Amino acid sequence: MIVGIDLGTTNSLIAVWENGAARLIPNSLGEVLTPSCVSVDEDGSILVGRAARERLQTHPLQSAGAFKRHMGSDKITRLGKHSFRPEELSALILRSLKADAEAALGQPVHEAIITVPAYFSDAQRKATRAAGQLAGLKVERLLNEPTAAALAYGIHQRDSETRFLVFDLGGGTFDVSVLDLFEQVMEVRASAGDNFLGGEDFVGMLVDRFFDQHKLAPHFRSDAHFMQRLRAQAEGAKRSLSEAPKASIRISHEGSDYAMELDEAELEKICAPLLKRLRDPVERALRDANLKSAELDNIVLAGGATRMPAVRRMVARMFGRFPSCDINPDEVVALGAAVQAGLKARDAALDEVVMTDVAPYSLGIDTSMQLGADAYSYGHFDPIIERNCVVPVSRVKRYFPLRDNQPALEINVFQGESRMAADNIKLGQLMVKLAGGKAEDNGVDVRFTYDVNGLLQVEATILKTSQAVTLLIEGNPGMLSEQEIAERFAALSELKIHPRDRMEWRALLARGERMYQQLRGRLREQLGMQIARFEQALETQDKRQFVPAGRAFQEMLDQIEHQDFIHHAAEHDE
Amino acid sequence: MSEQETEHDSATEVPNFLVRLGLDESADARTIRRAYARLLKQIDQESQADVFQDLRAAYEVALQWADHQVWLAQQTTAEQAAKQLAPAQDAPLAVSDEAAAPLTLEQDPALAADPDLLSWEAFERFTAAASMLTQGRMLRDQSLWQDAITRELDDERLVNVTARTIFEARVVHLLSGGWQLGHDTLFAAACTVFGWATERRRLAQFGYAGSVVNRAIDERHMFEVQPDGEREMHQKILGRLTRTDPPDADQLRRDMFYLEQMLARFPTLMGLTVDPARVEQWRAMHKLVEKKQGKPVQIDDLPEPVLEQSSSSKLPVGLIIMGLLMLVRLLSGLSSDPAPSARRIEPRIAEQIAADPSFGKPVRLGMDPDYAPLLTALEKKEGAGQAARNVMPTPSGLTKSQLDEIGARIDYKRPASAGPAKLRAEFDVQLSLSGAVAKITRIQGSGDAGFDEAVEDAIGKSKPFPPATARKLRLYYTAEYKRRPNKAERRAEINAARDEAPARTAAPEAAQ
Repeated sequence: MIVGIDLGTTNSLIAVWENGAARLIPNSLGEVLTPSCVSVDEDGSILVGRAARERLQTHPLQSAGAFKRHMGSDKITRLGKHSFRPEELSALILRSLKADAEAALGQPVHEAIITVPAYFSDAQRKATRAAGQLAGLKVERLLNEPTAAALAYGIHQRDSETRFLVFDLGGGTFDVSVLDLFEQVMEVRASAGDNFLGGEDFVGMLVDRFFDQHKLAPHFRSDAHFMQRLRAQAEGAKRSLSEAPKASIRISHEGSDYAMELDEAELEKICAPLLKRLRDPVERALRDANLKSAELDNIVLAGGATRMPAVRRMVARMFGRFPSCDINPDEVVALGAAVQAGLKARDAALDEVVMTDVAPYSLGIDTSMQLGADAYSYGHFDPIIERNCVVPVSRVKRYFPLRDNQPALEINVFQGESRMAADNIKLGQLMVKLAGGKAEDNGVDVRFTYDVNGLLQVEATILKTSQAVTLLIEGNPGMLSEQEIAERFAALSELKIHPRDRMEWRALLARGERMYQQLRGRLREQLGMQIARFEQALETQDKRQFVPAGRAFQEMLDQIEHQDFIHHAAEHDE
Repeated sequence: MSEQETEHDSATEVPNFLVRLGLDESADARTIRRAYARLLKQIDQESQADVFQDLRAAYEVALQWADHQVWLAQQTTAEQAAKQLAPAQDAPLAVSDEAAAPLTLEQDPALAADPDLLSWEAFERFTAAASMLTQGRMLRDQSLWQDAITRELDDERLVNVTARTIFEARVVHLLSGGWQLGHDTLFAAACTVFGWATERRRLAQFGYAGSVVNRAIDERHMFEVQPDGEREMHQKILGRLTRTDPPDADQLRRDMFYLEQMLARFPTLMGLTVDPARVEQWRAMHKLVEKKQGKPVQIDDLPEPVLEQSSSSKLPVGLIIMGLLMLVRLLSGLSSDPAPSARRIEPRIAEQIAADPSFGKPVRLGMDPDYAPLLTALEKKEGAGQAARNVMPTPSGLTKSQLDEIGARIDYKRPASAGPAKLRAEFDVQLSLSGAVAKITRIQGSGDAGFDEAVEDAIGKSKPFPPATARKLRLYYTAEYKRRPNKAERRAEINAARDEAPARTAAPEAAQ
């Protein structure tokens, strides 16, 4: 059974193609969105999802979130007595989703299509595949997120001819893709994006503003508890403003209360610099696709952050019309991944649709230009594969050494759009030994082969001898070898994961603890007592006891939060 | 990848890319897409990567071919189109947008506004600000010029993507038109603000004007990486060129060598950023100085400065439009005798230059020396009056496609008896307020009256130009008529090429 997984910065989802449609699979809490958070519990067991997210506030040193941003790097996160690489944290999410799917489908799940931002680098893609492997999933195909969104969309319009732009603003990344659907062929014309722009950054701006407004001392930022609570408040306010006209951020710390009221217009002003950054990738994608905005039939929104009215307004003004958001932007990528999973499994209903994708960035080497008799200009980037050419692709170019009898030709592989190689990202290096002789007799053919998954193979062939040297872009920092993956897989499998069937209660408890931390006075005492009672009920391991206790506890929590809101609202009107 | 040149005088063979798609020459864009889709579904992209690439290459070329067929068909019905008197729907820079859905929920005026209008207004504001900046110290202050551009880009009224693109296009066209007071600072400022120097292909969307600016950027980089001694000398001369007082005779004698060196090495860059009148002044003075002293001019074995080779026309309002070598194809009535035919001269691509044995060095990027004569902006006709101008002219707004359109309409069959020739006809064109062609004056004939007439005719049949186009234009068109070599001669040519330059076979290809 193949599934489709959206491994997001803030939330992850899993879906499957069934009976001619894509369907989202709920987790053990009955929700389709699983927060991309991991936490280590008091007893050393691993929590994934909502419970971990709550614990991000109450136990920030044992919890981690938004680790997608570290994929492709070597960053180690310490949680309790465990240390995890980003791939491993992602793998824990994937394992949890895999378990959810197996529970829902009643059969083992061995393979998955995982989505990545179109702009993800080689190293980041490899890390994502490694995460899949570490979760016991075969990942043959990675899918670009905007392409997935387009698939979810395009399938509904299977027999039409349409050109559209996907505007995907998620928790941590921003992706723009321009797609062409005709004769059931989905063609990506261009892709652009910003790997460091997402909903989390909007929250960050609110936090910064909060600090400014209250002139909070900088050392508050090193207080992990405080920061997590503040971020959660800011996140809450940001979300409320998508539906309500006003919201507030309230927090107390070391005896003082701080509050900030804001409305939607205020939010837009605070986040103006971020909104501005949305323009550049859009313009670039249109440029590369060689399309004018008027030639687009549709603008499609994906990613939770596109719920923000400020973002929607910006999109409307950029294109001079309103975007479509028929499909829930949080879910659209996962649904698209399920479509691709169905395609991979060769489901009969989907036999018709074929996709092509493009290389998201240019790939080339650095070369020299001759200025005068002995003057050279070094370090110019010469592309071999241009950005936005259809993949899989293989291109070859011929190069010559600068001087006669040069012992070797140094081929440095770069990725990027700048004229000068130094401004691009270096991927690897290939040394080609030359046989000696005149420079013009010593040509070397350099071939770049780029496959559908964004993996690059470089082959240099010496013309004189027909010998070839190959380089598979490996050796990136943060790369795990096959053996390391096997070792870590074993280690992860030995971790104690919190039992699925108890997740609902564990999450409830975590929520209660989080609220306890936020309250004061009598309400806090009352809640404290209820938490203790519920914990006791759980310890009996007797369903007849803890299930009703759990329901009652949940009701109480809901009531407190509701009351709290009323309490705040009342203060508002005064 | 098959070459773009296809000779249509041979028997009609179905091009191989169409064969690959299972089509014949009746194919259009739609049938090509359908064929591609059908074949694509039969391939597994992952395991049959080379089959896929082969199919994809055929598809891309086929689409280009189909585009070309459409263009050809349009030319034969061009006469009917020219009869229209309604103003052109196209925006001056061939980018237009229509506001789509009417406003429903939010009354945001920016949603309904026409992006072309928005960009035009923004550009007017910018040029007004820029004209202020041509005074005194501000002329050299790059940050002020950058601010002037950024102010418009940050303005609430320029959020629409199309409007921003058109705005950038206007700046590109302004610069590519050639030197005006302040353009050296504007060039640097615009490069920084728009990131043209760092993002390699950003200028590609602006057609010919974009390629001119792109070339200038490449040249500027080459300028920067020169050995210190040469670069400093060049920079000093650039400084002296900006002064209005005439140069000292001895200094001039020393400087002239380096000036000509710069003009030869960086023609496009110099064309955009240096006052041509000043260069002419120096040259005139230098000739006098040399004459007085009775010494021959001391410019070693530098190639002749590209200025003298060909002249371009500078528009009275300061924008240069380049005529291109036009393809004039004899469609019917080809005789089997060596009939004169004109062939389009394609610029040599960078890889072919790299394979040139005289260099034998790694691939060179960017500059194509063959382009240099066409690109020079330093012309000698307009006098010193231009130099004193301190108001930014509005660009003429004429696009390459409009030029091409006129060129494609030139319908002239040169009689075989006339023999081979290189022709060039230059005209002053005056437009009425509505943009229609009001008056055409021949400035310089080609020597072939029939050709001149054909060009004049083609210009006259133009649709009215968009209101933003300048009132006065100067256009020229050239054509080359060669004797088409017969089979024996052709074979000799090929053999000669093979013997001459063995390294040419080593030209890098973009292999499939």
